[in-house]
Amino acid sequence: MAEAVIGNAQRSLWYKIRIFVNSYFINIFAGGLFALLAIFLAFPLVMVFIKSLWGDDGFTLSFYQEFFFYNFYYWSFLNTMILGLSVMSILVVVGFCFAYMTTKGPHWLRTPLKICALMPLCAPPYIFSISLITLLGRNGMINNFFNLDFNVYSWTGVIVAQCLAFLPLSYMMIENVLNSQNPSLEESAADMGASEFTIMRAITIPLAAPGVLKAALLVFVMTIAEFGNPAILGGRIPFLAPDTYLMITGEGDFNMASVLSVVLMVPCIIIFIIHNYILKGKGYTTIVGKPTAVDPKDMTPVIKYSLLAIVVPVAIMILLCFAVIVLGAFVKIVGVDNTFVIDHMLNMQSNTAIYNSVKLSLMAGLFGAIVGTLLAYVIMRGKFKGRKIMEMLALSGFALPGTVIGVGYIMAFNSPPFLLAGTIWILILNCAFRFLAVGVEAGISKLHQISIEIEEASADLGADFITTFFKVILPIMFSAFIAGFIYTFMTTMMSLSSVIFLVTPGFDLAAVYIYLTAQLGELGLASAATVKMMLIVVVCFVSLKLLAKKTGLDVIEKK
Amino acid sequence: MKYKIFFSVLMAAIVTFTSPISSVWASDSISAYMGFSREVNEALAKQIQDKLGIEVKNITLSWGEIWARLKTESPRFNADMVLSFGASEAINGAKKGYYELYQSPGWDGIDAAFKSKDGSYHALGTFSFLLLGNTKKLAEMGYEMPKSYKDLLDPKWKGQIVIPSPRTSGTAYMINYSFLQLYGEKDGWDYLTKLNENVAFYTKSGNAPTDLVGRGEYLLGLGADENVLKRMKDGYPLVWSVPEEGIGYEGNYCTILKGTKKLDLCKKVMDYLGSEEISHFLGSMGYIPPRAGSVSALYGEVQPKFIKLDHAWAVKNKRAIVKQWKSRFLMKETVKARKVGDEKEKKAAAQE
Repeated sequence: MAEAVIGNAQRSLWYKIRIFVNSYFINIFAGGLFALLAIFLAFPLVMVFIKSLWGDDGFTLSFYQEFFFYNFYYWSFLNTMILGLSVMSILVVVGFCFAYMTTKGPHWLRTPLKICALMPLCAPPYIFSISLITLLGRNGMINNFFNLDFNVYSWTGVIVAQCLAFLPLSYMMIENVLNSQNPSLEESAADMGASEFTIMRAITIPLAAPGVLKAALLVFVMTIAEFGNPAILGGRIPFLAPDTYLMITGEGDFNMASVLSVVLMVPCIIIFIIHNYILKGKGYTTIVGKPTAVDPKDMTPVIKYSLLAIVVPVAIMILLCFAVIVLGAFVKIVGVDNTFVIDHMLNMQSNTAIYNSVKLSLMAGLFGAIVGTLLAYVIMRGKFKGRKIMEMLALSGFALPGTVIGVGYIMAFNSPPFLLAGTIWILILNCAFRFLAVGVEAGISKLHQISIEIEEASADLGADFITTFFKVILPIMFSAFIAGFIYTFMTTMMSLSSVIFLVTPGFDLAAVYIYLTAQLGELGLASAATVKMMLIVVVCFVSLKLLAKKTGLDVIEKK
Repeated sequence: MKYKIFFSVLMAAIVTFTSPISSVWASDSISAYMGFSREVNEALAKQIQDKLGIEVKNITLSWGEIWARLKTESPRFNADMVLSFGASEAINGAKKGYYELYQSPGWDGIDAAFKSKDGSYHALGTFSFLLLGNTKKLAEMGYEMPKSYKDLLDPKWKGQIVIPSPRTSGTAYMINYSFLQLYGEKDGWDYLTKLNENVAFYTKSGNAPTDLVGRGEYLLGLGADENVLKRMKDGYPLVWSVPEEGIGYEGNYCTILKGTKKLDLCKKVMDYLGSEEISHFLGSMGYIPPRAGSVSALYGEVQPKFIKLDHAWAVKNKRAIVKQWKSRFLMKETVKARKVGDEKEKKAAAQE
């Protein structure tokens, strides 16, 4: 008798828990995720902000004062903005030319150009400074061959390197925009006798403008945050991102580094707001349903050749840069002693660094993808206050410069209650949360497409929430999961700006290793490590794609 | 169900990749911040592993970077030892109590100049900076290798000289105070200001000039002597010289960081570092080692001419000198800024 009562009580307790979980599932989830976001994204940023205002004797504005007194800092800020703007304007033009050629150009040219434009994706952005030094350095191959006196340690060098590094970003976004234009509009204009130039001016460009603007802003943010190229090629020109890094690693001055971080953050936040709130929903999609197949037209020669005049040199430059990296990996000292050696490739330290990178990227990718998908779900389907703030926080990782988050992480997690410094977890969490945005965005757009009725139907048929979640929601969101995973994986492999603050002895990362060896001037080792890393990235990417294909999930279909 | 297959394959891959994480830490290993050149660091770590079976997980950093890390991480250091940093870092750290005190028996018989009295640090050897030139490029331009530091001020070298920056590099600081002590403080700064006109840029690491000059990017450089021998063997068209005024020198100090969980292993390593073998090893790399029997492969039996240096002065005035350098060559500051900066400086000095 007594046993039965206890049994009943237990059962009813279990029942109550299940009911409770069922009805509040989403809120429990949301609470947990919100705590994670707050600790691992907001808290470090708050720390940076506090540190910029909090000296040894409490609150002070003296660090900001210092910023405005030294015109070194002022120049540093100005230079960063100039760099961002010039790379942005160049890449809008070049990216558009590439995109136009690959969507409307001659067929045989499309694939090779596309490959060229996307190639920089599979290596860290700052490898271009390595190859530019080899090619155009003061003792570089091209300089010597043509007897030029081009100085690569200059503004031109930095801008060229940054442009090459971020071409894929601008190209992908603009190509996406051009692809969503209905060709019949242009067709009909052409039928009515408009020249291709008029069509371009009156239809293609105005229709693409909002999308292109978005691409431009993103390029701007990425450029000012990336510090490898300016640090290696900048010579004596100060830039904010490398200065923040030197301020910490060289001088251990956290207050000033925080001030520089806050200053760097200001334009990024402005752009983030413009991007997500003012430009949101702007953009023209003129395709409804399936695009009608149109016979490809030949381009007007004038336009074709003038576009080619821009596109071909850039493509050649990219190919040359990669060729030099491969060459550098296999010769003794590239440009000085071109005998074949295999030493660089066999260097053990770089192998471990790459192994560590793969390990870290896999874990960060998995963690980031899980959190990202869940966040997207909670933001879309939850019915609690503060969803907008949560969305903003989750997406902000995109706009925040890596150096800032890196600085924030060492300040936030080097002491209790969150003592993480020196462990692999600080790296995993850093990468996962920084690159969360793509998973979240993909998840949100996926859930936009799928009506909530499917979930309701499942609930009506008697499935409780947990069953619905695993049987209905997860499969729906799986492509978002993959998108988040791949993005986080790739960017973690390449990312330098935040992890460089967090690496510890014995856990070298490939990106950091390549940067440090390049900075020390050991181009052979840096090239070899880059080649190995590129191989691994390509292998990983291809096998992921194959796996997805085998299992019927197409990775390419992102949004 | 297909996503489940995908998911499980992915999970399997991740598990296989990540499983060794925990097992790595089980073996005998210590971690160290290492401030030699990268090649020397790797070779030294290998030497220790081969001999003692202790793996030295290391990360190559400039001295300034090591110091910045110690300052931020104190009192919980992320490494067990520091293998090689400069006198000012060693002495200031000892003042702050960053290091374990250990009188290593392995260092018996070594000149007291290479050890601290209380056992907080030991010097693995000394190194210097050299004037470096690219033979090929010099011949092309028809220039001679300068004989004296004064020759570097010739306008023909404009934009042709690379020097490390004392913000991050210990070598650079040594170069700086060597000139200040060679010419006296006022004339020293004058000299550096004039030299600044010819400097193309200041590198982060003290070893970078060796590579930049070796690859022919720049004609001349002042840089650490650590990599020079190795680079010349590698086939870089490098030439080094000791200008007639002499060169500066500085110790490579090593120490055990306080709070290490592997004190026994660290002590073993420290004992071994005082041995004849390590002296020989470092000598073969070009350092001037502490044990009398070993000679530097770079300089040979005859020691080069050294500038007479007061290291204690250099250690004491490091902050002020680096700040001076920054305000002269890095940022052109306003009068008001200097005032703010000076106050900040005073406060920091008072704290120490």
